[in-house]
Amino acid sequence: MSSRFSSHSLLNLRMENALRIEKVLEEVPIAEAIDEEVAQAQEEKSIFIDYGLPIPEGYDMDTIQALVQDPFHVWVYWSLRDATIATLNALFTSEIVATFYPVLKISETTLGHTAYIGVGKGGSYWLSVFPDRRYRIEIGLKSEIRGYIRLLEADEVFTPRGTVSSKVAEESDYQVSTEEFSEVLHQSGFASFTSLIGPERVLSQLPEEVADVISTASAGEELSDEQLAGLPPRIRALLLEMKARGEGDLASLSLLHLLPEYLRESLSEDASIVDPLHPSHLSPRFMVGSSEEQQRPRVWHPTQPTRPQGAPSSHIQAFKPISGSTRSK
Amino acid sequence: MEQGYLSLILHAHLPFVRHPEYPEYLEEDWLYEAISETYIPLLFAFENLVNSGVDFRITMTITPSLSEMLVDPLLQSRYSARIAKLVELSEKELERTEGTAFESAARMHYDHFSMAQSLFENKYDRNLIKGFKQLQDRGVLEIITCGATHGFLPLMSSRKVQQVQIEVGCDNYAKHFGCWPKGIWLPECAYRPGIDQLLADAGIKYFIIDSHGIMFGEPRPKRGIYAPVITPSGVAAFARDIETSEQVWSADIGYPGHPDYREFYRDVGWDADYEYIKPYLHSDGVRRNLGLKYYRVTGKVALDHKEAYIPEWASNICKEHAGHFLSSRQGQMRYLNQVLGRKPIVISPYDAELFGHWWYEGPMFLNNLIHFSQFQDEVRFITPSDYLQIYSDNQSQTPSSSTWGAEGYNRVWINGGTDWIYPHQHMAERRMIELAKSYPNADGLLRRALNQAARELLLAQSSDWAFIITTGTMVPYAIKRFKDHIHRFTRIYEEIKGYRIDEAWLADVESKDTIFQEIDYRIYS
Repeated sequence: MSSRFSSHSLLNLRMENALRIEKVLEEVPIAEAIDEEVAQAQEEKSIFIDYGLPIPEGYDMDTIQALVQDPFHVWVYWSLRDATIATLNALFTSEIVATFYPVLKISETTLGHTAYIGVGKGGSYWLSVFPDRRYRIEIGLKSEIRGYIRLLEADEVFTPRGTVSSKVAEESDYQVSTEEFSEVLHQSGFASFTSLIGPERVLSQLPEEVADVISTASAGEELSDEQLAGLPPRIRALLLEMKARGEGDLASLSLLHLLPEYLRESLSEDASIVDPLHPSHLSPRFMVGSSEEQQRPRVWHPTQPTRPQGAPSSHIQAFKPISGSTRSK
Repeated sequence: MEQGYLSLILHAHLPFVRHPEYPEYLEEDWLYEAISETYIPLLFAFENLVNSGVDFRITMTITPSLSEMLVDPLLQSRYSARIAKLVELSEKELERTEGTAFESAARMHYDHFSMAQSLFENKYDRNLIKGFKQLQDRGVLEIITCGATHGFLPLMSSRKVQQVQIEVGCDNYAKHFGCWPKGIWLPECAYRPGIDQLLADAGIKYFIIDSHGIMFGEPRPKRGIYAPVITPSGVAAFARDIETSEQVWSADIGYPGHPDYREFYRDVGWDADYEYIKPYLHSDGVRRNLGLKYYRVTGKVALDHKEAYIPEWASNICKEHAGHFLSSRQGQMRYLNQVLGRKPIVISPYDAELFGHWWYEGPMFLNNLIHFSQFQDEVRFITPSDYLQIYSDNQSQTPSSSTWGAEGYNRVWINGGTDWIYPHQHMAERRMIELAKSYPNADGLLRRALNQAARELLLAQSSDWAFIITTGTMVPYAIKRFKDHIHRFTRIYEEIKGYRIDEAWLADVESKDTIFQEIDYRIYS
């Protein structure tokens, strides 16, 4: 019965194209093929969910904007009009115009690293970045023959330091020694001072191969095959993939894209660094919504209390009428 | 002997939700539940403390969007009908639970809803702003403002639109409370260097920032989070205290998780026989929370293993917790005073809706805490502006970018699930500025259209939509709201630019998105 209809394959179809489900169902004579999952899928289709009024897919204008997510990530989106790209026609021959393609130019202005990424005329990109750095991001056109032409530039973004400052106040009244500040940190609920000293300290704790790559990349030098071979597999694969498809020197790319992410992962493994200061919380504003997504109990509140199935024996005591005002704790 | 200061800050906020196009709407319940379970119980607790001669000071944000809803006649009348139904149901429950373990909880619910109805209808004439304003006028509350629609400032496209969020927030505050705000709650505590200058320009004296905003600021803060810093613009920044946040907020170690407190997730709207409860549900007949909850937290057990809620037990443990919180602060203040060489201020900000809505006994906890504080002299309840009166000399610092969201930065509001929002929002922001500059002296229909465009933009900017999408609750509604406002803004923009404003359609939109009737679109110019 290898040809027997599988509801799982049907569900896969639903993911790809909901309309195809209807057609397949009509052609399958086996009633049992419509199992519970399919029935549920059909039911879901009949429920109208209001996702709002239509909004434009795009705006046909030149724009670029960069937004900081956290010390390690910046999101950039851009859009170029065809008319803007066509202005090249007034400057170059059609053969030369054909050699241009849109690129994002990413400049880390604190240390002076630059990278180019080939992109489409519109889109968005998540950049892995370093904390406490300034980034300037442009959209432009690049040609191997004629070089780079800037079209638009986003406002410069500055990534948060993500740790304490090394700067002490100039006013004598507010100067604080390392020991005193360590105590203040401790009392303020933060991790120990040593683990908050910053990325530099974390770098010193990275595997030697990774630290070596960072050192090479920071010096603006090309990474050797030996260095690449010594990297963790995931990092190496990503690096080679970027080298194959990207522009700019490998060292800058690795510095800008891969190693900060590795650093972030390293930080994430250290619970005392990750977020010792900031317990995540869910605002209770919308609990009315979340409550309705809770799995409800199978035994509902009875008109007259009875013992729910499977409840421990202590449970039954809770249904006794309360006659006293105290209980032993 | 006085050792330090405690500043409780309750941030009351809900996004503007108002759907006159439907007779009832699920998300309007956010407001109605918060009125019954948080705002009225807080007013009741504060009034009782004042009437008992208790001297205290509390800071409270009432955001402009919430203020606008609390004075809206349609929402007031809908709440009036809702509370009447709950009084009716809770009265029926007295009979249904007679002689059971749930009897005392049923009595508690009936008393609670009857009190809420009486205060809402009679004491405050349906306008709770009146109650909060009276408490501020009597020197108990210090009400601060917020961004107009809780817009997330660091992710906006320009300083102008950030400035408008702040200025509209201040103007709206003056409309409702008759004075200018001293402080502001930055939406989501989202700060980046430079925002403080916008606050200074608006006449704001202080704002609240998350702990790492000051701890990671430059230069190092000598007194950590226990003293404000003065930002480059001259506005003071006060930081959230981690310890007190965890004591109240943490799901694991916080007070609200105690086994004797009322369980949020067991509600008669889900538990009672369907035919019995159906008249109290919305007309779609879908089960939902009604606010009558008969079980206690019990422990980490399945919902069907929860045990009956005993109000007296909850009341007893609530007193213990208030006493524990106060004694913890006394110890904290004593130590900090010694270490810092100055009386510390502990800033304890919470979402107001935590108290009562999520943690049912929360208002009782606050009442106990404030009451107990009268019998000691080590910890004094003050507001941030009180502190600035006591200590006018504070360290200068540029705080670090920060928010109070998970991980401390912007990830909750911008991530792979929400990034699609921003190109649309930014385009609307640019277009609004363009409109305001293009039509400096509009009147008549054009002026109405421009003012409505400003409302639609402000509503689209609310941080709540991205927040809801990220947290995964009521996601379709958040998407709908953002898209509806962008759609309406875009249509208005195109109609203005095309010299063909559809007055009937505009009037329909005006009747729905009624927020900020006072707005003047020229604020964007």
